[in-house]
This record gives sequence, structure tokens and C-alpha cells, in this order.
Amino acid sequence: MDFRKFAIIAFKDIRALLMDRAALVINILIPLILTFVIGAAFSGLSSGGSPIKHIPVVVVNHDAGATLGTQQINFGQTFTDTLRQVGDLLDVTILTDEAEAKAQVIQGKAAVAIMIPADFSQTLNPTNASFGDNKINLALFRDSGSPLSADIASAVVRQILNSFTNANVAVYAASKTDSNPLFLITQSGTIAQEVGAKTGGSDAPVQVTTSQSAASEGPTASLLQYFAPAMAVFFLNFAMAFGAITLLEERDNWTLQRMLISPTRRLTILAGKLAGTYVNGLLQVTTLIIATSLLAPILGNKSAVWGNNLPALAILTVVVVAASTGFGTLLAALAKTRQQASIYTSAVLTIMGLVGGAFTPTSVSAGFLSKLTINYWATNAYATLGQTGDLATVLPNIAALLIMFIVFFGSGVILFSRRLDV
Amino acid sequence: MTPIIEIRNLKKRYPPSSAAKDKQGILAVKGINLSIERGEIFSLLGPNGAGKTTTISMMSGLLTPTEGDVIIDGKSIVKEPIEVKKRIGVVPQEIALYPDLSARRNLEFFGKLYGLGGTDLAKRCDEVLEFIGLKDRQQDHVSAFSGGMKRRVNIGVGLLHKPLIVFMDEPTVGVDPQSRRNILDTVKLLNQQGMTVLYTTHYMEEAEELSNRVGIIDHGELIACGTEGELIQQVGEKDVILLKLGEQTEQALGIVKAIPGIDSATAEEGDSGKLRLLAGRGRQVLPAVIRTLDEAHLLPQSIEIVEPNLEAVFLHMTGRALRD
Repeated sequence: MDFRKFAIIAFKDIRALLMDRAALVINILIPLILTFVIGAAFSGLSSGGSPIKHIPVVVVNHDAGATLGTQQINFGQTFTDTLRQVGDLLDVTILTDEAEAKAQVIQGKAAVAIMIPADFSQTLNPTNASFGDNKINLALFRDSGSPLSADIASAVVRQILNSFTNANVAVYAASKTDSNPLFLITQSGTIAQEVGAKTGGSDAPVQVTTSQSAASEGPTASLLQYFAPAMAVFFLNFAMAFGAITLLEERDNWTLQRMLISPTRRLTILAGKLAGTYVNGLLQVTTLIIATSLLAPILGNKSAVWGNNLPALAILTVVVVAASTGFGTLLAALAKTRQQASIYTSAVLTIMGLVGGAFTPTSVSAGFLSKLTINYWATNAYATLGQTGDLATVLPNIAALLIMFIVFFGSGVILFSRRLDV
Repeated sequence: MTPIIEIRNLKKRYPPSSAAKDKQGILAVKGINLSIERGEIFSLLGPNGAGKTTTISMMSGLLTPTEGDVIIDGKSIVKEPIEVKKRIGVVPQEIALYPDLSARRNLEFFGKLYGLGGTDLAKRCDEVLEFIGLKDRQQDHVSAFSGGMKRRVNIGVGLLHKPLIVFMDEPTVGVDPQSRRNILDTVKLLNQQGMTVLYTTHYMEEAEELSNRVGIIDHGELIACGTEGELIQQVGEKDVILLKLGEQTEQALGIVKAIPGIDSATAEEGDSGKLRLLAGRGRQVLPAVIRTLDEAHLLPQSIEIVEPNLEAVFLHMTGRALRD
């Protein structure tokens, strides 16, 4: 490949974009405005409440159980079963590994992780002579990127826990009066209310300790950590697809044919054109990162929207733009005409944005389909990196994006090469 | 003399479209053989859709030939396309320019793709802008140019790298008479400077004015080739009288054949309602033709005398006019 000609072709496209005011408005200004508008809209929800359902919650039950009378009991399991009966509000998943549970929260797959300690049943055993003397901690690990969902899930956990421990207090009280403890446990809901009203829950033996996935200055800051990349990736996909479509535009204008009849290899022309698109994508995302980072503090957000790990941010951006360029190349290569490409590219990328969480956090909207989108992997990687600053936590995302790049770009280039025999 | 261009059994079959009934596709060029000498202006003359652009596209490496080869200055377009491309300049029929770039920027961009750079590129851009008469407008965007000015820049890009041969594919399509004159003068000037020119057109007058030799192409086949005089000799240097008689054509055919001075009479292909008469001296025999038809109560709707020229040659060989 002739690298001089490759650079000449790439530079022409970069220069053309920088001179195009309309493209700059669409690629930079609109995503910037939407980031703050959608971020503000979602931050309002956290105070006003919303009909959110299926909040993902993961539970790690370390409870070793205890003996109540003649029966083996596991209050951790009972507590988990009660969480599952809350209805549509929570989607409860059981895990055995605490690190994995936390990772799910960090990755935005769960709003809250609940860690039930090993001595949960033992401490809450109302027949135990030391009942009430010891206190245990039930640990909640919240997703600071989904404050609304995390608030709701945490409130439900506390409510159930209060009812549950109050029931045990009642059993303890009843046992003092030689009643049948098993009968009392089955009636725990009623008794809990009665006893809870008397004790006010203030002496509950279970304390809830809360931590979250990353230090957050408030809900708006964490929402920006999500919506800034969500908007950047959404508009990046459009820019990259329409960048690749300029190949079809050049074919219509015969400038592509003029390049092809010059002593320049087809691969050099194709690579130069796509490299120009890729560099434009890098410039677009970099500009958005800088702009949102500068604007966020002015608008009252104290945390770093994109995190502080700049090398990791750079690596992720290089991969995200590559995946987006690859997908854009494939979309453009599938079309026979520029008009056809423009129409279905807009439709595909809008649907991909909706499914992939461009407008709603993926902790609320995530499903299998979302995992097929660049938006999902890229946005969550940026959000996670913004919160944790840890490149290792987003390596699965980077791997997924690299696979997408290889598949999309490879298919796109093969198809385009065939179409270049104009 | 060794020809600078040798076209050997050149064929192009386009793949069938998904909706096409013929799964073989279309054979747009059906095996052309042709040699062009160094320093010649050679015109490929043929109607729209005859295969001129497909032939030039294969010669310039834009299309891969289905069969055959083109040897240019000793290099094969199939085996050494890059070497061939260095030796040729192409002026496509379409305005192949970036409208949002200035004339100079367009020249610079394409010049770089031909390996020019630095002061060489700047000097060649100046020379070409001077040659096409647009030096004072070099910084203007191409989008602001008239059709004729765009055509001139389009030609200029093809000349930047001083090619041995220039292919010009219908460069006067859609331009005003003044610009057309300017383009034809440019072609002559380039040839005077030693450049070999392959010129395609469907305008007989252009081929007649410019060419040392003409190749007549129709339905993807080269049906005649030679100087204008050689081609006219092929039709016997006779005038063609075209009579439009509508539905009375068949009746008139039998009558006019017997008129002294008429060498042959045929009805034109299709339902044009025209008779085509060949005569050594068309203008002298015409009064007798009209008188005879009048006596038979057959009055022609129109009469046309075509004196021997390339149009007549095409008509003679294909039974159709070039503009059909």
C-alpha cells in the first residue's frame, strides 16, 4: 500500500469535515446539548418517582443456617424468597460469588448487590440464648450510575428486613412464653407488624451498611457519566456510517472513478477513505469528551464525567471508534445506492440507539438485544470507566467491541471491494 | 511503426441483474481488435449505448475485461494496470470533480495521486490552469463554475501528469457551442504537442473534424475502421436519398427501384416509414423520383439528401442514423 497516497486521501476527508459547518453542528453540538437535556430530565425522575419495574438485584447468600427447635432453618434463603415475592418491582438473581455480584453492579447489570453474612440465621435465631446481644451487618452495594433504581431496591430491602427481624423478635418474645416457634414464624408478617410497632425497629439486630460502585457527588453527576457517552456513541455511529457513505457519494460524482483510474491501488483508496472517517470519529469523540468535561462543572457537577484514567479512556475511545467505523462501513457496503444507504442507515442506527441504551440507562432497559449493539458495550464501558477508572473492569467490553470491529469491518471491506469494480 | 495502443479481442460481459431474465448478463463489448498509432487522434464513433464508454473504461483500468487485453506503450492493462495508468490521462464524460474544492485544489489532489508533489505539482497546476484558461479563477469553487468551465477543469485534471495518451470520453456532451469549440481546439493543440488522443463521440462532425482515423462502433462491435475517406469509399461514395412515405413505403419501393440513376432502394428497418435510395448523383436524380411518385399519387412527407460522410457510412452499415 502506498502510504503517501493513503494519507492524501484520508486528509482530504478530514479537511472536508472540518470545513463543513453543518456536520460539526450535527456531530458535536447536538450530542452535547442532548447530553445535558436528557441528563437533567432523568435527574428529575429521581426525586419525582417513576413507574420503574424489574430493577435487577443480585443476592449472595453466605448464610450457613441454624437449628430452630428440631428443624434446620436458613433465614438468608427465607429473606431471598421474600424479595422474589415483591412482584414486578425487583428481578432477583442468586449468585455465589461476592466479587461477581459487585462486578455486575459496576457493569450496570444490577442496581444493588445484597451480601447476606454467614451468621445471618445464627444471629437472628430467636431460640438462641444470645438473641439480641449480637448485631450483624447486611451489606448493600449500590450502582451509583443508576441512583433511582438503587434507591428503590435499597428501600425495599430495608422494609423486608425490618419486617423479617421484627418477626424474629416476636418469636423470641413468644418463646419466652413457651409458644410454638414454628407456628409463629409462619405468621411472621402479622406478628412483625404488631411487634415492630412496639419496638419501632430500633433494636433490630441487623444493621444495613451501604457502599456504592464509585464515589458519586449526586445523581446528576452519575447520570452525566452515563448520558455523555451514550449521546457521544449514538452520534458517533451516525457520523461513521455517513462517513462511509461518502464512498457511494464519490461513486455518484465520479470522483471515486477518477481516483481508480489514477495509478493508485484500490486498497489504498478504500483504506484512505475509511481512515479519514475513522480520524473524524476520533476527533468527534475527543471534542465531546473535552466539551462535556468542561461544561459539567459549570453546570454544577463536581465529579469527572469521563473519569480520571486518561490512558484507559484513550484506549477505549480508539476501540469504540473502530467498532463504529466498522459497522458504518458494513451498512454503507450493503447498499446499492447512496439514497438507499442513507434511509436504512438512519433507521438501523436509531433502533440500535434505542435498544442499546442511548436514551435510557441500560440497567433499566437492558435485554439480550442490547448486547448486540455497539451502544451498549461502548456506553457501559465509558460509564464504568468514569466511575471506577479501572481499565480491567471494562476489558470484556473492549473485547466485545474489537470482535464487532473485526466482523463488521472485514465484511464491509470485502463487499466494498466488489462494488469498486464500477 | 509499433502501435501505442493495441486492443486485443476485448470483451466485457456485465453480470445479470437479479430481475433480469437472461442469466448470462449483457455482452456490452463483443471482442474488439484495434491498433492506434503514436501521435494519432483516433475517434470511436457510435450512438449512445454502443459500448464506447465500456471500452474506454476497460482501457483505463476502471473495468476489468471479461476477456482480451489492452497493451498501452508495451504494458498490459490486465497484468500491469498501475504502469498503464501512469501513461494515460482520462477525461471522463462526467464532471469528476469535487464541487466544494477550488479548481486548483482539485488539480492538486488528483495530481498527488499521480505522484506529483512540491514545486513540480505547483508548476504543473499553473501550466494546466493557463492551458485551460482558468488561471484567474483558480481559487473559485468548482460549484461556482459554468458547465463549460467545469468541462475545462475536467480536461485539465486528465492532463496534469503529462500523459503519453489521453482518453476523452464524449467531452462535449451538454456544453454550449462556444465551449465545444474551445474543447475541440484543445484536442487539436494537445495532438500538435505530440499527445496521442483517443476520442469517443456520437457527433459525426467532431469525428470528421478531429480524427486521423475513425472506428465505428455499434452494439459492442467495431464495424468499420479507417480514415474518413476510406470509410466513405466503403459505401461507394454515393448519395443517400431518404424519403418518408409512411404507410405507402412498400408500394413506393417497387416504383422507385425502376427509376434510372437509382442504384438501390431499401425500406429502413423498423416502422420509420422511410425509403433509402442510393444514387451516384442524388441531386440530379431527385426530380425524376418526385415526378414518378407524384404520377403514382404517392407524395413523400419529407425528403432528405445525405451526401457521403460518416453519418452515411453508419447508416449504410447499420441501417440506422447515428442519433437514433
